[in-house]
Amino acid sequence: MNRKGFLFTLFLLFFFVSFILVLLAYKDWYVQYKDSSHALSEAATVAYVYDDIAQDFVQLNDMNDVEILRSGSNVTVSFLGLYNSSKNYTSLLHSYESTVENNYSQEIQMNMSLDSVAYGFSIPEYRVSTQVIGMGTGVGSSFSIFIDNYQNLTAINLTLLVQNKSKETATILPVGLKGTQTTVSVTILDSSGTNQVLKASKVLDGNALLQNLFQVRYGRGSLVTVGYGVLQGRNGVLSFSYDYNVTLLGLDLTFKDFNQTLHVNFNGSIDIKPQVSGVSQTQMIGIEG
Amino acid sequence: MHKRGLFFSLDAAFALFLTLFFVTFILYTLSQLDTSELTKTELLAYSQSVAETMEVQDSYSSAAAMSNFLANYTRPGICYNITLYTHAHVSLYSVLTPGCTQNSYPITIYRTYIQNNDSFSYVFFQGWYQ
Repeated sequence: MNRKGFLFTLFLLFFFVSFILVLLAYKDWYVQYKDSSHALSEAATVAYVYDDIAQDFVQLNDMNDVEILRSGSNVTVSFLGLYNSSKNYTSLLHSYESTVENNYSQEIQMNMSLDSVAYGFSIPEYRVSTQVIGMGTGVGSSFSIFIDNYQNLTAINLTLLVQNKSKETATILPVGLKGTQTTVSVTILDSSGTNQVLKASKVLDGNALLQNLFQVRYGRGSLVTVGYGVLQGRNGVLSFSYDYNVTLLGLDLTFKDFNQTLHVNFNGSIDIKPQVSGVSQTQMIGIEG
Repeated sequence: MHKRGLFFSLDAAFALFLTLFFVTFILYTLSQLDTSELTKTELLAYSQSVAETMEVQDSYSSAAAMSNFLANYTRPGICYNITLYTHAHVSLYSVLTPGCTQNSYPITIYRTYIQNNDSFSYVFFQGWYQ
């Protein structure tokens, strides 16, 4: 009996001591897990704030629908609803920048700044950049896309909507011009959004003199023109100018694919530094694929 | 018999003391594990995802749209009180998850929201477990 009791006591002691050892190990693990979870949560919050601002920035730029599509030996960067000439993007972006830096940062207690903010995009792999002259004024303004690596540009597909219905003529000039590098397809719609005022396609070279190749003439000498070639001493410039408000409904730039990661950067970067932790993030706004 | 009874009582008392000691130690150690921080982290992560989804689905555009999202698309047992402010911090409208009563708020998050493509607002989330 004594021996049985002794063994029972020993078993119980062993059981409790084992249980306590497991419990202490669990406690150590739990404390570490909680600390790492807290650190992850702070990092996730910084990433969340970055995404929040980037999403709004892209929306303000009308660049929500940008895709990088690969097909065979080509890669296409596709924009939908890219640009509206009646909208003053510069003013909007600077207003948003001020809101983020002065109001939003105070609310969430993080030091934040939006840097190098401007309308436009760039594709560094093909040295593509943009320039808008006369933004928001509507008349006598132009939108230019500089494609310095134009030798690898195989196709451009552009769709413009013009806020006018009274077209006089639609021409493609000069008729005989023919290149070998890039197929430029242009569709111009009137304000109904469905009626095609001009639809044409030509093979052009980026180092040929830019002319108003695709032209729609309206009353009182007003024009909407699209060209591709040399502009301001630079080769490979796609440019459209307009005397009426236009919306760039779609733009596809197709390049020879070198199987490298492609970046479409919007002109702006976000810098976030929380006031209470060491986690910070500085990043350009854009997509890659 | 008296002697045996005394030993038995002493043995039982010692065993009881030992058991109580171990149980107390275990319960004390368990009570030191504060799980509220973890549940708060989970709630924060979930709420950030809700805030983003609501923006993508344009659910901040009206009080009705916000209410509809909260009623149909958030996890049961989680409550939100969402207020939309102008950038000058003027409250526009506020919506509470149907069936919830206001409580203490373990998490609060903000989100910027662009109305009609040109006016900037904030969405302020207060979240808690029901």
